Amino acid sequence: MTWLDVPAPWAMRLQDAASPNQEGIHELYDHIMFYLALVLGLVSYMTIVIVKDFTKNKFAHKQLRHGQTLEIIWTMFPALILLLMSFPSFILLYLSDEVLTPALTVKIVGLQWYWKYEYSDFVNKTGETLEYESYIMPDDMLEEGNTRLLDTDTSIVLPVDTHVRFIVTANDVMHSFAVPSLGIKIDATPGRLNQVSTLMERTGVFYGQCSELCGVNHALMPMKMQCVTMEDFLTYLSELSE
Amino acid sequence: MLRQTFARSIRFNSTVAKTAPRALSNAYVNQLEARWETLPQADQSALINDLKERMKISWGELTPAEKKAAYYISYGEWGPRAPLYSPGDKSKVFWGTMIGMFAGLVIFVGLKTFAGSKSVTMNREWHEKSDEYLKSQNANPFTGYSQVQ
Repeated sequence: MTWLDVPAPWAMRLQDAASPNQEGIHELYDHIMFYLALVLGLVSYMTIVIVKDFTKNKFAHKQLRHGQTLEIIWTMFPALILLLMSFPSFILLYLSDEVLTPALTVKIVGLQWYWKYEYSDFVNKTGETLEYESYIMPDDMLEEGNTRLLDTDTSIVLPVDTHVRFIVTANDVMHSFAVPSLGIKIDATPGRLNQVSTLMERTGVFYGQCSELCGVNHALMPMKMQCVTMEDFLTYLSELSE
Repeated sequence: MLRQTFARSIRFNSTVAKTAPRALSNAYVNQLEARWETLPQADQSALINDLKERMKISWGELTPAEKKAAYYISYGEWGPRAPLYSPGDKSKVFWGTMIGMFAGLVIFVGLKTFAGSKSVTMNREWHEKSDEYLKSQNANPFTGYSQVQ
């Protein structure tokens, strides 16, 4: 079992959490897995018993037309299980949707087939907002060790332990901005601004891929996010604004 | 003696005895399994009715052939209780699946044979370099990480 910031060969589970949202998703996953194991055990047991005891018994169901108690049980039990799963799920959903006092806003625009990032809170010396585009690294330009189909020429650089708000939109067709380690997946829709926030709890590099089928190069517009210390972030910003 | 005579006369004069006085002939009900499904609907209904009448008397008085026929009609393997598969069906399904799997294998091997060369990134050295790079980037600090396949 592997938990990763990046996709890995044969990875079966969720990527490592780097934000409270993703930690919540991990917890919900484990929670629902418990009920799943319970239901799997019960259904398997009943199936085996039915197959074993009643396969060749022609009289087994002869008088069985209706069972009130049984029907109440098999209606109530799944309803109860669904309720037990839905409460933590809705709590997490609404908590994840909340955007609380962000310290920094980044605008993200999806285009066919690349991303454009804009640090809307900052301007350069000529008074324009800081913005740049990010393209996938083509295979022939990869340096040894780069991750194919994931590395980009530029990446979003963000400070650690800071509430960041992403304003997400698109310029042509629908895209989807997704970073599994942060538990983010939000549609980028033309003519609409969607917002989502995150709090990265550790420095590192996080990868994501466009998650809404957007055309022939849908697979070739990954996003790379670097989380750095506040000092490094400020240095990066001042370099960018020059 | 007298009581038996009375009982016999009552039974003999009852309506049941009048409708089903005699056992159905062996020729009529024997070996029903072999021909039941090919019998015309009218004959089936007639036979069912005859047996129904016979079963109104004590079942102990039915002939073995009648008992077998009545059981077959009620619980035998015909109509909704017919077996799901006829004798040849299972091997047909088995061989159909085998041929399908073999065809899939042929397509897979064919595609592998005529496919283009592997990407430059698909080798151990590259994967090890990826590991180094990702480690330097603090990727997956909790549970370890490897791109090596």
